Amino acid sequence: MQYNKRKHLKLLKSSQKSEKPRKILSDEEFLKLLESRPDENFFELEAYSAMMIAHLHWQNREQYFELIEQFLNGPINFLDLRKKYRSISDAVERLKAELILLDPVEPYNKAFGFTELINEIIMLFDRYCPDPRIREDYEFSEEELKNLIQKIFIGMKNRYP
Amino acid sequence: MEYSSSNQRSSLGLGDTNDVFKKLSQTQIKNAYSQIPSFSVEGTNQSITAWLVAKHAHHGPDFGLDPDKYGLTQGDLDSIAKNGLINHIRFGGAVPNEQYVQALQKRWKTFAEHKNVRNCGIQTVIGEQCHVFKHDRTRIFLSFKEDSGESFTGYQLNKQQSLDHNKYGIIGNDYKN
Repeated sequence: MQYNKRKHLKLLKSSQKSEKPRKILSDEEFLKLLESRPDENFFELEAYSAMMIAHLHWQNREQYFELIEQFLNGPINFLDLRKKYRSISDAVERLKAELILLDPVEPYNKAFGFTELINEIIMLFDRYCPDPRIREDYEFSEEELKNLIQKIFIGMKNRYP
Repeated sequence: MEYSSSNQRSSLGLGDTNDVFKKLSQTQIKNAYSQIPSFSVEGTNQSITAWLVAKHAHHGPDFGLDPDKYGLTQGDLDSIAKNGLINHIRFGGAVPNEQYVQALQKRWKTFAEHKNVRNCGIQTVIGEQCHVFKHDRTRIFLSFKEDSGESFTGYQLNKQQSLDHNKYGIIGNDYKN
């Protein structure tokens, strides 16, 4: 799918607003949220938004590389990485709300796949368990986690100089 | 029991403060949470156990819960995400109380039973074979282990993760196998 700024803008103007993430909800409000369904343009709009977000993540790759190097060379701390990810995603949502769009057409091919790798690293932390006595089969020790991230990181630096 | 900030930790059956709680073994902590009843998902063999919900307490805000209301800060949830529940408690962090765990169990049950939540069938979630449910509009998913029917994990996917899940039917790569 190619990014189409004009179409993205048109969809943004005509479609339902995005649900705000991590909003505090009463039981009734949570039920009401679940009642909401995607409209006909929802998935196309999500795809364009994801492209814009991916573009901005890639443009900030140097900062990501620094954060990854920090926890590879020190204590495990992925919160800064997750915070950076959320800040960039939130920034795109704010821009979209004002109908300000970035144009990721030309560099999009260069950025392709970068966000997925950052996602992989963030998701790996959900499987980190420092205590071997309670570690589940699917969870990783610090050494295993760092080795995996090191492999992903080497690939990232080669692919996204 | 009515919730109040002064007795927030007294209802886990061990009746005490963080100081006492942090000296418990992981088995004792797990047993304390196991005293809280599981919630079953209507018409299935799936159950939402308090222990697994407590382990994933950091995902509560993705289901609209306000940690402050239950004596937890965002810092506590970040610490659970970073250190795991047991180490968070051992380091003296606030214990997710019975009210918080039950509120999250209830949200997971509501989610799994809602008509707008899509049954995605059996899929791989971070290397585990799970029954996956997803609400497309919010990108929230919930998973249950295929073999035991026990709740596994659930949270809001970001847009790229959600698109990838729709395309490939997988959440997270399996690095163990």
